[in-house]
Amino acid sequence: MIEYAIVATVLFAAAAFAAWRVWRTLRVSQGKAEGHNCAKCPAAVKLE
Amino acid sequence: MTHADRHTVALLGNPNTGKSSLFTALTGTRQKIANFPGVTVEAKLGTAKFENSEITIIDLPGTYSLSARSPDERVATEALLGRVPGTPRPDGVIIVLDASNLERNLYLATQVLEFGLPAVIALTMLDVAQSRGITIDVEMLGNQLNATVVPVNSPQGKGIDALKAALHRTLHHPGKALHVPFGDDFTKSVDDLHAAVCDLSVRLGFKPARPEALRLLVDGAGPFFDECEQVGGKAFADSLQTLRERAAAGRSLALLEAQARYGLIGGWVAKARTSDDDGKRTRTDRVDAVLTNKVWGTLIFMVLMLLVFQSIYAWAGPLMEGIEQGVGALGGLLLALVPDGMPILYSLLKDGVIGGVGGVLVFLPQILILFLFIAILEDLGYMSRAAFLMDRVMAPLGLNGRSFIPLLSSFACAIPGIMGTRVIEDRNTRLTTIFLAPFMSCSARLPVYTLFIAAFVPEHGVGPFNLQGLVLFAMYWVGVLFAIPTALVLKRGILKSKVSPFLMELPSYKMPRPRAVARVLVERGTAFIKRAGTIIFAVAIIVWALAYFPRDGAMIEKHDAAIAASEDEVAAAIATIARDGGFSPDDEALAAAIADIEELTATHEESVSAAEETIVNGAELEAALEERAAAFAAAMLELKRRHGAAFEPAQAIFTTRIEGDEAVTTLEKRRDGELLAGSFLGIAGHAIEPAVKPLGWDWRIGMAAIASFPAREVIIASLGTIFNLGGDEDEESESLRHVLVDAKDKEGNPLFTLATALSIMVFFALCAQCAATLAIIRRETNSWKWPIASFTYMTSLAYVAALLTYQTASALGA
Repeated sequence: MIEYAIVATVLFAAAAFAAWRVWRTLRVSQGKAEGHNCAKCPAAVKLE
Repeated sequence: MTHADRHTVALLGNPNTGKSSLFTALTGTRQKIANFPGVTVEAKLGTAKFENSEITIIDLPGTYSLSARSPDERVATEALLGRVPGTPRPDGVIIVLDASNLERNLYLATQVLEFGLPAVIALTMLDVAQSRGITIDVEMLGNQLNATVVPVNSPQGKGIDALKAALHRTLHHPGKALHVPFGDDFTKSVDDLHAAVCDLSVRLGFKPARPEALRLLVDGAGPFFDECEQVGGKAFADSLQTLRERAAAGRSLALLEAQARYGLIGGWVAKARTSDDDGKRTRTDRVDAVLTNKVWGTLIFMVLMLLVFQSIYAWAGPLMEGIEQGVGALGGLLLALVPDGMPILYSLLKDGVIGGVGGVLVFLPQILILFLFIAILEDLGYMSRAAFLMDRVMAPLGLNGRSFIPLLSSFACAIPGIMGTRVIEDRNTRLTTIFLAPFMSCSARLPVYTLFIAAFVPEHGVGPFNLQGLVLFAMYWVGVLFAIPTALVLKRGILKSKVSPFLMELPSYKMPRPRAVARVLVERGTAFIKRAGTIIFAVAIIVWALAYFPRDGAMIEKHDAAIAASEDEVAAAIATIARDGGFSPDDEALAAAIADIEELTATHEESVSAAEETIVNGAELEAALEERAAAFAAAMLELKRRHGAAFEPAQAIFTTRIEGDEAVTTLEKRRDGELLAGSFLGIAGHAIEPAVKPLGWDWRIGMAAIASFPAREVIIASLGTIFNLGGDEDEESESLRHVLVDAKDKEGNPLFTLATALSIMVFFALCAQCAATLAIIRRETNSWKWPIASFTYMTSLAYVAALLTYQTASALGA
C-alpha cells in the first residue's frame, strides 16, 4: 500500500509539473509571462 | 541635504568605450540593475557623491546612435527624456567619447547634445589614441562642442574627481542645445513635424522633444511612429510621408542627416586633433590583420573550433567516468533504502530516476568544457572577430550583419538568440533570423551527439585529430549547412528585403579573467543540473510510467515459472555431475576447484578485453591473443594437476553454471521485453514503428525521439529508461553507452549501427525539438504562423535528412 502511495505521489507530482510547464510555456508564447531574459541569460554569447 | 543637492545624470556612449568602467569608478559598489519593460536591454543605477551633492547615475546601454527603429534602441531616448517607468528623469548627461575613434563617437554626441540637457564629455582611451600617434586638444574640443571635456582613465581612477566637479558645475549652469545645420527644407520639415506631434501630446501622454521629431522624420518608422500613428491615425502617417518627401527632395534622409552631422564633426576634429602621418598600429590591429583576414582568419577559426571539439573528447572522458561512478554509487545507496517487496518503487528509482536522469548528468563535463572555451574566447575578444568572419561568409545570403550575433548566440541556446533579434529593424530580416536560429546546434544537442559518437564512432586518429572529434565538429556544421539554403529561399522569396550595412565594434584583445570564466561555468553548470532535475526528471518519470504500466500478472507468472524451472534444471544437472564424479554437491575439494577455475577464467577474459582495447594493429592483436590463450591453457593444466579427480567435474559444473546463467538471463530479457512491448509506450511505439523503420530506428528509438520534443536531452533519459526496463542492461553495462552498444533488435542483431547513430544525430541536429523555442518564436513574431512553420519545416527536413543519411550510410556498409 505504501509503495503504491509513494509511486502515485511521484507520478502525480511529475505530471503536475509537466502540465505547469506546458501552461507556462503557453503564457510565455503569448507574452503574458517572462520566460527567458536575453540580457540575463548566461547562454547568450556576449561580444563586448 | 536639500532637494537641489540631488541630481540624476544619464551616462551614454558607444559600446566598448569604457563606459561601464567609468560607471563603476563613479559609483563604486552602490549599484542596482533596472529593467526596461518590454525590451532586452537593461540599465544600471548607481550613486556618486561630490562634496555635499548626491548624483544618481543611469548607465544606459551602449549605442552608436539614437536612431530608434527597434524598441531596444528607443530606450536610450526614452530614458534621456525621463519616460521610462521606475527610472528617474535625468537632469544632465555624461557623454563618453573614445579618443581613438573620435568621429564615430561624436556622431552620437551630436544627437544627444541636440536635446539641450546639461552635458559633460568624458574622454576615454587617450592612452590608445596616444599609442596610435593621436593627440587631442581637450580645451579646443570643449570649445567646439560648447561643453566641458574631461580626460578620464577609469581603471587608474584618473580624472574622476575632475569629472564630478565639472558635472556639478554644469548641472547648475546648463548650456544651450546644439544646432546642427541641416538644409532649409529639412529644418522646416522637422519644425512642422514637431508641431504636428506636439498637437498629439495630450493623447500621447507626453510632449515630444524636437530631436524626437527629427528622428521620426529620418527613420519614418519605429515605436514612436507606432505610438503617433495609433493616436493620429492615417492622417498623421500621410502628413509624415509628405514631410519626409519634402525634406529629402529626392535624396536619402539618412544620408542627408549623416552628411550634416559628419560635416560638423569634421570641422571640430580638424581643429582639436593632430595625428602622426603614419598613425601607429596597435597590437590589436596587427593581430586583427591576421584573425580577420579572409583566408587566414577563416582557417584559424576552423582550426580553433576543431580543437574545441577535440578537447571535449580528450578531457571529458575521465570526468564522465567519475560522474558515472558517483551516480552509480549514489544510485546504489538509494536503491539500498528501498525495502524488499517493493518492485515498482525499485524500478521507478532504478530505471526511471537513476537510469534516466542519472544518464543525463553524466554529460555535465562536456557542457562545461564547451562553455569553458566559449567563455575564454568571449573574454579574449575573439567572438567579435568570429562574428565578423561569419558576417562576410554569409552576407551573400542576403542577411543583415546584425543577424550574426543572434545566430552565434544560438549555438549556446536559441532562445536568447531569438530574443536578440529585436535589434534587427528590418522585419523580414528579423523573421529570417528567427527562423534560422533553431538550426544552430545548441548545447542541448551536445549530449545527444557525444553519446552516439562515443558509442558508435571508432576512436581512430585522422592525422593530428581524432575521428570522434571530427564527427562532432561535422555535426555542428549540419545545421549551418541546412540553414544556408533555407536563408536563400526565404530572403529571395517571401521575406525579401534589402541588405543594410552593419557596424560592429571589434574590442581590443584582453587576457581572459578567471573570475568571469568561472562565473560562466557555474551559471551553465547550474542551468544544466536544474534542467536535469526539473523538466528532464518529470518527463523521465512519465516515460517510465508509460513504459512500466500496465503489468500483465499472468505473463509475469508464466515467465517467472519458466525461469524457476530453468534454475532447478541447472541445479539438478550440477548435482548429477558431482555425483557421477564421486563427490557430493557441497564437497569442499570440488568447491575449491570450481573457485580456482572461475578466478582463472575471469583473469583470462579481463586480459583478452584489455588487449582488444589497447592493441590497434590486427596482426599484433592476433599474436597477443594467441599468447594469452596458450598461457590460459597452461594454467588450466596446472589446475588439473593440482586438483586431481575434482578438476573434471568442477570444470563441467562451471560450464553448466555459465550456460544456466545465460539461459536465465535470456528468459529474463524475454520477460522484460514482452512486458515493455505490452506497456502503453510499447503499444504506441509499435503503432509508429513503420514511420521510423526507414530511418533505421526501432519503436524504442522512435518513442525516445518523440518523448524528446519538449527538450532534446530527454532522449538520453528516455533511452536509459526504455532499455533498462526492456532488460537490455546487465552487469557489464557500466553506462548507457554500453547498453546501446549491446542492444539487440527482434532478430537478435545489434540494434544500433553507425548508420543508425548518424541518422539519429542528423535528426536531432535539424528537428525543432524544443517547446520553449517555439513559444519564444510565437511571442517574438506575435503569430502562431511562424512557430508552426518552423516546427513543420524543421521536423520534415530532419526526417528526410535522417532517412537519406541512414540509407546512404547503410549502402556504404556503415
